[in-house]
Amino acid sequence: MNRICCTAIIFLSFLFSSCENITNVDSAVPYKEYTVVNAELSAYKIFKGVRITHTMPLGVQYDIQKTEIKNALAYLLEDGTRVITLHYTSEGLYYPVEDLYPEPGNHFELFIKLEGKSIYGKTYIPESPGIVVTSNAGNNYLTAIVNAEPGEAYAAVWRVAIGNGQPDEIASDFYSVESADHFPSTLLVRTMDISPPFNSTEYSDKYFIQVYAFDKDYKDYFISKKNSDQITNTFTSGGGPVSWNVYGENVIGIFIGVTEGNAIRL
Amino acid sequence: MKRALKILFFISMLLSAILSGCLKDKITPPSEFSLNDSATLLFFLEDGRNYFNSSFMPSLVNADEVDSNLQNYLLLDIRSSEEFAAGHIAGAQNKPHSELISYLESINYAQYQKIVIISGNGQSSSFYACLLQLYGIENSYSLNYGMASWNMVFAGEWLDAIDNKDLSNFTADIVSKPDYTPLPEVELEGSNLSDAAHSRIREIMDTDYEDNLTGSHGIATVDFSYLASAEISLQYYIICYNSGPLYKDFISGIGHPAGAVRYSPPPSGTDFSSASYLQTIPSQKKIAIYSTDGQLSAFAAAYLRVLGYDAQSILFGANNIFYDRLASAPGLNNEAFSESKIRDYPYVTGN
Repeated sequence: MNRICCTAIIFLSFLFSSCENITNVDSAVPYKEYTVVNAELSAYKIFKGVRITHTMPLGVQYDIQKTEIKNALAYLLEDGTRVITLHYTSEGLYYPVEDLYPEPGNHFELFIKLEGKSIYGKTYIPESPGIVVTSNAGNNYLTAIVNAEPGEAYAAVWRVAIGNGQPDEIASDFYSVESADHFPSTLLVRTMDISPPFNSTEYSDKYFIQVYAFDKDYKDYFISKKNSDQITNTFTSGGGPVSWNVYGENVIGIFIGVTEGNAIRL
Repeated sequence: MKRALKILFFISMLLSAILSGCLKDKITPPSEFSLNDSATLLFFLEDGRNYFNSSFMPSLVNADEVDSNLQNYLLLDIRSSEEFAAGHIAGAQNKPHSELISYLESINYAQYQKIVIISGNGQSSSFYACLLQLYGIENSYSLNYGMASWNMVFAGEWLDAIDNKDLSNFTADIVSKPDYTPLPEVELEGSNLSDAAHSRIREIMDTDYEDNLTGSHGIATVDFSYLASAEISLQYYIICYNSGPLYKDFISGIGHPAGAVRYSPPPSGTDFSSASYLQTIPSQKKIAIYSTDGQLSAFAAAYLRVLGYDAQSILFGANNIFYDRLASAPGLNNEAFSESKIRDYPYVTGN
């Protein structure tokens, strides 16, 4: 019996120590480079290209000229049929030969060949989100109930139309990204808290809520990204792996379709 | 024993928890995501200068320019040895189209300001000049209207091609481009993309471009007379490759063969680019392309054939279909071949 316990303890110590090695920076361990792929396809908006770069070792100052990848072969495949080639321009960005305006309802696949290895991503451009009702939670934040669709996730931002030719004030991020598991169903999405001084009755007639519909993969990314934020508060944030949706050997990246709904006045 | 089993169970549970934690950042790729040959070929053609969708297209050079630059230009005459012997531009070399690339790769072709491909009427030379450009020989040009523009002695083919056909099945109705279809299937062979694409272009370079009106069709060309029957025309997807009034003449009301679809060439349009309408061209149908004079459409046929489309250029274009309308239409009349385009430059005979 003692022998079993002893074996178990020794084995566990090995396992724990091997996991710990991941977080401890050891200069003797060779640096592992990742290819980073990043693209967003926004409905009816000009496609801003795919950025392909590679990671840099810790301690090396970030420089796009040193991280950009110029020699990738890349193209999009729209709805399994239409090939849209992507070509290097500058700073790791690959563009179509002409402006591209993705349309909602369409699926896009991303194919990249880099130094003999294949990279792949897939996304969907949702239709404009269907809003059932909106409400103002005491000038603190705004909410909307949306009709949930399969494969989609939703998030919202508040906007304040200040007027006098000034641009709208807008929330810095989403409060959360929501999706449904059963259909048909509705979802409640809320904005982050409205920043002062706009969270007062003086501005309440200038509030708008704008709902974004995403490919559902964005929800996993959003949540895991939050989990991996730098730890500033040990009770609310922590380290963890990010959910990427671009596949390939030593590849990380996000390839996401999004449709911005109209800003709705409350 | 029971306790030992409990401990083993505990250890296995702990192991699963730890291992799943360690592997949390692994992602599962789809089983298959290899790149498609047709798409990579299109990438090659559109990468860099993107010749076919650029203002360099079509690369034609006039007889006057050639005559002024005989010392700086490399002249490659692709007509038969008999035609060459009957008369050619001094300094021109007689080379079969299938040997052009090998020959140019064997010399320092970049030393020449322009390489001018010469045929009898400018149709086939346009086809091969386009292929050379796609191959990366960026100083390749076709002699506009071929030897017909050099001297009246050689202009017979062109003058005979001028015609006005029966336009009873013509319409001014605008036909919308159809839905996207997959690219034609092409299999590339080569260790890298450049080699594979070059091999593909060499393959098309071997195509015999039959540039005489025979009432029928060749591999990459078609006589409009052949297309005129309704039964035959249904087998084709007809492209009017012109951004001007060639497609729809608002004055005369004459437009285009029924069912023909307009695609705009550079510089005003780039309808053959991947981000535009290239894939609205059906990959499973024969393609007949016409332009004003059959030269621009020869460039287009070359490009589409490299991509795997069964494309044929309508020989001599609108000059052979509705010459009178072409010659009288503002904005198009300069595209009508006439004696004013024929020079009287000297030529030599023999080999």
